Amino acid sequence: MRILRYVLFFILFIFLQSHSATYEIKSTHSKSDLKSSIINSKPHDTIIVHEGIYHETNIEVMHPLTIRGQGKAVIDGQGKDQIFKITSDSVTIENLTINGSGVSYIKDNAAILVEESKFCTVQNNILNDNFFAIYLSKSSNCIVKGNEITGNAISESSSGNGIHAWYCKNIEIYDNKVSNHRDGIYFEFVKNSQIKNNLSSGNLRYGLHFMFSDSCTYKMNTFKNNGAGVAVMYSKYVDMIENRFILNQGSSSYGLLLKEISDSKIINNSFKNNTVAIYIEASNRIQVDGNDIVENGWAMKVMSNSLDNFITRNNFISNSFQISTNGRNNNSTFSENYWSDYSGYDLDRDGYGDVPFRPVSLFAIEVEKRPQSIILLHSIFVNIISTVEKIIPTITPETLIDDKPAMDIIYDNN
Amino acid sequence: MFKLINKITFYGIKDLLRSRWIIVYFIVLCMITEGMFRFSGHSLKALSGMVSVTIFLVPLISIIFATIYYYNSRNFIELMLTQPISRKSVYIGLVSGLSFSLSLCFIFAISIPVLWRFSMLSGYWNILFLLIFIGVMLTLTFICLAFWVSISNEDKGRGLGISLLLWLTMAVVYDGLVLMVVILFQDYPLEKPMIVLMFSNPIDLARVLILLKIDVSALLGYTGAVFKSFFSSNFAQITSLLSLVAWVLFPFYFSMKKFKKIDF
Repeated sequence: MRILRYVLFFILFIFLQSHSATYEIKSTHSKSDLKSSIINSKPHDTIIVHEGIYHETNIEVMHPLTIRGQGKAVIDGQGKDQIFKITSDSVTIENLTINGSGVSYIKDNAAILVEESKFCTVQNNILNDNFFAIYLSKSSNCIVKGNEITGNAISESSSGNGIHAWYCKNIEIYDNKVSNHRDGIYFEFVKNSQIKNNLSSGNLRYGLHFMFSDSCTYKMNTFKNNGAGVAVMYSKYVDMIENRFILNQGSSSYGLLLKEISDSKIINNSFKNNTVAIYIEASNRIQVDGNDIVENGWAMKVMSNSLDNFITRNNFISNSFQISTNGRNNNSTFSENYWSDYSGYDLDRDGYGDVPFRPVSLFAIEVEKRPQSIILLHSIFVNIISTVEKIIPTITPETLIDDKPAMDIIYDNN
Repeated sequence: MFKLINKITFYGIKDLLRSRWIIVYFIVLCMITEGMFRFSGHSLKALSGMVSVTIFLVPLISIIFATIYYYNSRNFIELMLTQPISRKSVYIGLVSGLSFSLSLCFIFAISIPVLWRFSMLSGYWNILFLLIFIGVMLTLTFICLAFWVSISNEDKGRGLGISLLLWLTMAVVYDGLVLMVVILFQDYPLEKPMIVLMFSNPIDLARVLILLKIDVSALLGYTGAVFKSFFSSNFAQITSLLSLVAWVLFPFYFSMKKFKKIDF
């Protein structure tokens, strides 16, 4: 009896399987073929799009479906409207090349818009010259993986973001490359999401920009050469681990800008050649640990409205200015960091200098007040007055000291 | 005439390279470079340390050495001028002899410690070459300035004093004054005057040239449009390189003019 039941199940299974059909679309077919196939398909079917160029816009996917490109299948919006709109759960879009969603000042036209859906996957696509490339709105448990996204942004007002997520939960963004958009990756009101191993470069504004997005993790990403680096604001419980922030140079450009962030971790990242590596404003209880901060204009700007931050075991090497601040009081703790311009001694040989280090130089404060004096950087006169100030501090914040500066570069970071 | 200049230059070099003070200068500079690379642990840091040393030490040593050298060779100069040779060739011979020896001394002192750190310097070669270039240019500028001071002053003590004062003004006091200008006129747009002020002092000019290479990230943080376009263009580099060369040629020309007219 039991065996019979199994057999019945098996037959049922095969029966169900056969229901999931595969449709093949070729470019020689008439224009509306893709759309009509989507409408005619049953849930959980697969549509294979063969090599060719398809001029299609406003393709709406309303039931679970897999749409897969084979060869170089190009879907071209020709700069009009949006291209894919997904309003169903469990939709997968992969291996497609999608070009030219239209620039609009009223609508957020995207190459792939996922709206109020769950368990969607967008992977291994190539997205060129779109207004917005991938737009996730009020969705959850979606995966965006291995896409190559290149925009053609010229001005901030007429360009959109590479990967844009709004009111989402449990999103995973892996292995994507985003360039030449307004913001590479943009998050607003996103919770519990993972951003891992992406490369965001050459974007007009921010490589990564997120606001009101709590409990997200950013790991092993590279943010390079973006107009204003990375900006993160108004969020809690954010982990930023092993990312690289490179060459974000300009008057309002930051490797990492933190504004009203709390209870977050910035661990084992590397910062190189940025104008300001880390800018901290009105942020509390942030742990900055084990980062390599090398050859930047300013290693850190810590505004005095930040409280209880712990800056420990970082390497501060060859930065023009180590720390700059805007007031005389400091409420953060600096300890066990390596400072390349530390000149103290270590008599008890415990690896930490016996004399505290003052990372804020007098000249850093002068430049903060009168930026044009930066042209006197490293001049003999400035070196003399900075040395005097180090010995007898009168202007620099008295409490901003590293009481236990490391004698050697800390190598176990990355 | 060239043959004659060559001869005087050659005698000068032969005389100077045996001088105790040139050897001391070489050894000290060599030790500082070696120390910088050995103890800083990071080649960019060592190089920027070397920039500070170069900007401080090279003008000082060059101006003092050249002043003393001129006064010590006055008898020799007077003797040469009794011969039928032009004052111009005597002058050029003296300056080039001194310039060659001090520049060679500087170049070797910087590059010998670098020779066994080839791998450490990868990616920083342009900064090293720039450092050597500004070192040589500052040497030449301050030799010419020293000649100008000592030709104008008969008395050795007075000449040496003026030379030192000139160095102190250009190296330290000038920047203090510039900083004062910044503080006094902070409400005014100061960018253009600041750039002019930097170009009118060879030490500052040399420093800015290096800044454009090492600290460009910080310089780009400044919001002013003039600085920004100045710092981010090749134009800035080329003009400051040329101005540094001009800072050698002008003192050279003026002290030669003076040398031709002076009554020994």
